[in-house]
Amino acid sequence: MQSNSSPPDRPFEPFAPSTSDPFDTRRICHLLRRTSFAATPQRVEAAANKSPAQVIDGLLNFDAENDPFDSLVSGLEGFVNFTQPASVASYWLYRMVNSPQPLQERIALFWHGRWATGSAKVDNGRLMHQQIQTFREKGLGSFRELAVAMGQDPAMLIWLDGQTNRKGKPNENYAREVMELFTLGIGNYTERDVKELARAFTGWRVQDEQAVFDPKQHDDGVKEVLGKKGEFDSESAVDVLLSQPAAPKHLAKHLLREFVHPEPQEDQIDHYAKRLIDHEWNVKAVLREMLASRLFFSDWAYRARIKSPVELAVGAALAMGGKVSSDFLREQTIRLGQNLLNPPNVKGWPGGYAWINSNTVLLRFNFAMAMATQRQREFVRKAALDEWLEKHKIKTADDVLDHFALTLLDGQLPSDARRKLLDYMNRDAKNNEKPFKLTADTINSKVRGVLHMMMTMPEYQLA
Amino acid sequence: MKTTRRDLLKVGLGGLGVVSLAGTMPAFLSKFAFAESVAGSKTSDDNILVVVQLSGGNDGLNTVIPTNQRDAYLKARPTIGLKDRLNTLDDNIALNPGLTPFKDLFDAGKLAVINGCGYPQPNRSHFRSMEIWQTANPTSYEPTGWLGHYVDHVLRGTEGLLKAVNIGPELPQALVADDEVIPSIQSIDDFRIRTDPNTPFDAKMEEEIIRQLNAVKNEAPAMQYLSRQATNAIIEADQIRKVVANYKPEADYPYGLGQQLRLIAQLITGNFGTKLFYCQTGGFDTHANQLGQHERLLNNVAASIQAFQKDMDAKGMGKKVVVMCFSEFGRRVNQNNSAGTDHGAAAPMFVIGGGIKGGIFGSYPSLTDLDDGDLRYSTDFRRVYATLLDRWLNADSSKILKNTFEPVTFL
Repeated sequence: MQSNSSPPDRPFEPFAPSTSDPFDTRRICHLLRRTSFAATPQRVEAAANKSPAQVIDGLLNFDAENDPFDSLVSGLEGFVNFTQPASVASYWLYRMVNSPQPLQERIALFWHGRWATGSAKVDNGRLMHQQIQTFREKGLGSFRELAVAMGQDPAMLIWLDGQTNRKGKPNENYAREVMELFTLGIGNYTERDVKELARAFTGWRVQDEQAVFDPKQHDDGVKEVLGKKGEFDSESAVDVLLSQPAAPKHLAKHLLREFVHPEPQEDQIDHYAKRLIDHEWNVKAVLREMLASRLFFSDWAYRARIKSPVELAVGAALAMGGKVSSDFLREQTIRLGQNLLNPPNVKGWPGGYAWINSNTVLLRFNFAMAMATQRQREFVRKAALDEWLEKHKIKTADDVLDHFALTLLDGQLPSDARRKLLDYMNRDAKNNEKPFKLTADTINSKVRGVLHMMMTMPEYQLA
Repeated sequence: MKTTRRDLLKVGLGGLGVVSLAGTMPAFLSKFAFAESVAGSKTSDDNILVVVQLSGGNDGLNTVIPTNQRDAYLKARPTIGLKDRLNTLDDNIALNPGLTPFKDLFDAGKLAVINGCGYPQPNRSHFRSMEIWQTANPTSYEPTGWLGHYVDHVLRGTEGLLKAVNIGPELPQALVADDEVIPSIQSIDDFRIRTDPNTPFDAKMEEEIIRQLNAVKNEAPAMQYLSRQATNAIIEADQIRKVVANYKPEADYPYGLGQQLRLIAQLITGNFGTKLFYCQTGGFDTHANQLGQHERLLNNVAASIQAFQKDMDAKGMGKKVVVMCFSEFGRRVNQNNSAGTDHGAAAPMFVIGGGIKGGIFGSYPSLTDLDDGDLRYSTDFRRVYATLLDRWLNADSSKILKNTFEPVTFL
């Protein structure tokens, strides 16, 4: 792609497929990668005869109140130790790979990076799990509701010291971050606003793993926050914050960064900020428009983002049938720089180019190797790979390349890369030319090798 | 005539024969060339700091024992108080029996003991107190770490993968910087393109194809960035492995911390221009039956650091490397009912190196004039940081710590 240096014209109009601009495999994969970690052959096939709007609705329209894993969780009793944050993180990775509602996990991941809470301080896996559950339930609903819920979230109360924020003895930690990082951005409030806002959030603490409100510790006096006066509490304070012009822009910018392009432009931010207000802060309605836009499907946005380690690992697991140990995925994502439930600080992961340095590049290569070649513990036991190839009717070298190019590279395998990989497949153990034939031996050597090498391509690091 | 950095760079690059590399210049090469040319130079620009974090809250009172307050000490610690096999440093203090290697370093003038390190209004939460030590900010929240500030202020714009390195799976907050992610490595094996061990016959071809797939092309910005990083990484990794393969340890490194320090010695010997190393060892949260366990932990720390110093000395680097050892807090003066100790406050720090002035610094806190059952700190830990920044790392500590601190005279 050479032509993606600028956004398209009429960026906010819905993308209307045409013969010159089709809703083809490449665009289907783009949409699936951004919203549900990976384009599996099944997902691509299911999307093939639908319109973009139909596919987007299929991704967005799930019942957030109804957790598809509820029955599983009771079955997992004893296997997942919810008191341990590490266990909760592994469980989350499992859900990302296996959920029938992947966008629910994807949006939770987005919010976890935004309202970044660290389990090292919270020190209670159940409270971390509870917070992620809130992101799952409310993540596509009203941002106002989500912001109110976070002000009363037990993990957040511990993480940003809401617990010690009491009448007469305010702790400003949460008040500052809720403005600086979660809703407005730096420069949109004064130190005095921080002090006054902290008073509004007083009175909450965590008792028996529940957030409880103690009216005696709540400062019910008049506060002046951002030019408004009132007896604000943790709920009405959110309305004060969201009435600021900076608030919708802040959220629009972060949604664009996560789902469209790492460097959104001013007019794009302004447009979706306005749509957030028009839709009364409903995240789903705005995300639907964003995903359906000409902007989203433009060459400018295509492969413009660098996958986070979690997107990379979950995507790889999905592309290969999903039979991967979640603990293995967790270990790998930590090494690649993203320890789920333990962001580096309250700002979350810096993301973007910061994911990649010459150290993490090599670690990504070696992650690819581990994924493609682990034979016993983590992934792709021989039988599983055999079965996978058979199921997808893969026989020739070209079949192998086409199949994995579809699941890993949006069907976009550059011709010189194809030539090299074909040459690799058409050689025997002594490096002599020998036409590829699918056998137990070549599956175990060449097919795994192709998988490994495709996942080291720079194209594969991009979302 | 003084040879400038630029001169060295030119000479070095010529020597490495990289002129033929078209397009982008791998970031590390300048660093490499430079490091090769100035090995052995005495400028403070190539001093190295190794931070050893003792996680869990090391019991300072049983690490450095105040023998001149014997009665109060044994009264507070009737069953875990140490009386025998102590390593006496002077009339006032002695080291834990496990710290005999530190006693040797002390006698050689290579160990500084800084007594009573802490900060105002000590916090007894592991998380918060560690955060305070790692961000050097006891009063308010700080998103980046004190060594991260150093990277941002002093190393910004310098090239190379390895300007600061964390040993271990995860980056500590101390090394969180604004603009870049400091690498965390666990072994030299992280620095190569690994191939399937079950198909060694294909390894060469696979490596070659991976190089080719990552060749820099005229593509969109993100693709260019990725392929450039990858290409640099592949060249760097080759160089690192070549250099490091020549490393021979000249000391017996113990298990645990010793192996981390051995890896650091390997990287130092490779001369990649790394200024900061960070490693940690745990188990210091000794709430119960701590006596033997604590001695073993301390012995591993001291023996590991002694081996490291010996190795560095043998390689002529002994005066170029300083080790700083800290923990997030000490423990309560009174032992608890389980023959252990609970979370406390002030504790000693150690600084080790051939280039420092060894000795005893800071006054030992009183065991009778306590602050809510804890020792009162006598030395703000940020004074130790400031000393290392100003007098060892050639930085301006007032900018990095956002405050001025009186130096401690071990440097």
